[in-house]
Amino acid sequence: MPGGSATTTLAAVVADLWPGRFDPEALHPDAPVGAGGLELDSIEVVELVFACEERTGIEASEAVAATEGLTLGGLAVHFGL
Amino acid sequence: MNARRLLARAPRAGLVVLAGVGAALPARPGKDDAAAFALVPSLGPAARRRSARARRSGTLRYGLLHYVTLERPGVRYGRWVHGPAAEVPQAPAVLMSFHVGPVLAFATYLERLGGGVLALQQRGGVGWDRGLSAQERPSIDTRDVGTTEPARTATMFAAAKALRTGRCVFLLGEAPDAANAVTATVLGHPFCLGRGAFALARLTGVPVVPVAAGWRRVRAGIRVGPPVPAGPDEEMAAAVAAWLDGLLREDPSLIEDGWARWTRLLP
Repeated sequence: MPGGSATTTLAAVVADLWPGRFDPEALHPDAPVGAGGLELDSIEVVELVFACEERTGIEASEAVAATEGLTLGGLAVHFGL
Repeated sequence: MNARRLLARAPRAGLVVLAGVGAALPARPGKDDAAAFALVPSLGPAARRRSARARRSGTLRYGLLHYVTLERPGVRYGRWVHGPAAEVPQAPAVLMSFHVGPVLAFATYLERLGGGVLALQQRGGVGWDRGLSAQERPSIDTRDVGTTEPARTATMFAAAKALRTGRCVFLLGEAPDAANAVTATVLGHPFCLGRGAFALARLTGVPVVPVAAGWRRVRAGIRVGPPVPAGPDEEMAAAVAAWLDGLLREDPSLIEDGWARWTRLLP
């Protein structure tokens, strides 16, 4: 599981995309981006993945975006954060 | 083809033609036209007659076309009727279509547009992809929207990537349910549009281009509307609905069964 810096980076990405929408406490590595977590819908998950791509320069595959139960930590691992 | 093969095929071809005529003729007693015209009371008698006549004769061909397509997948539309005019929108764009007019004509249109379009399908949702398969129309890049959230996300991801690489994405605009929809107005009635198309446009910065199937005299064709720049959902929906509103006021018989479908979605 990625450490604190990864969480901070992802929290910053989320906060940039949706200012004030999430409690910072909710943005932990185990938080699912979809149901049962941040409750992002399909297009918002894509938006988040694209934002991570832009920040890291690493391209994501479709499989990553569509991972069942994708978490912030999972995204961090993929993007090497 | 020699005479013996032609004779061998004749009974089958005759059945196909009869089935098409049988499907098209009795299904249009004028009731549908009357219901559609009631929505546009300003339409004059001459325009009503022209609209109804074009649809009836067009529907006859459409009926034939439909059965030939289903029964003989190897036969292309273009050999039987004048296919949709290949009006190619500037890519990338989200091509938003509607369940009005001869929607099956979209299959021909997409085939003519070639690999520059990713077409999103909803299983059991609409008619344009009936009888359509990779084997029949390999040049159309289609993708099922899916029913689960991961599947929808995968489709949205693929669609967004397609737009980012300069391709177009084709989809049906009407919302499957009113829960996650933007409500605009068409012919004075609420009209629900899915948010996905607008979200894709905003995310990638491309316009939404409304497209609709209609009749050109007695032939199926595609009408392409003006590009609607990416912006707030409600503004984009209003612009798209205004174009569709104008199209239907011009020829309300295009509504066919679409109106019943829309009114079921009223919030």
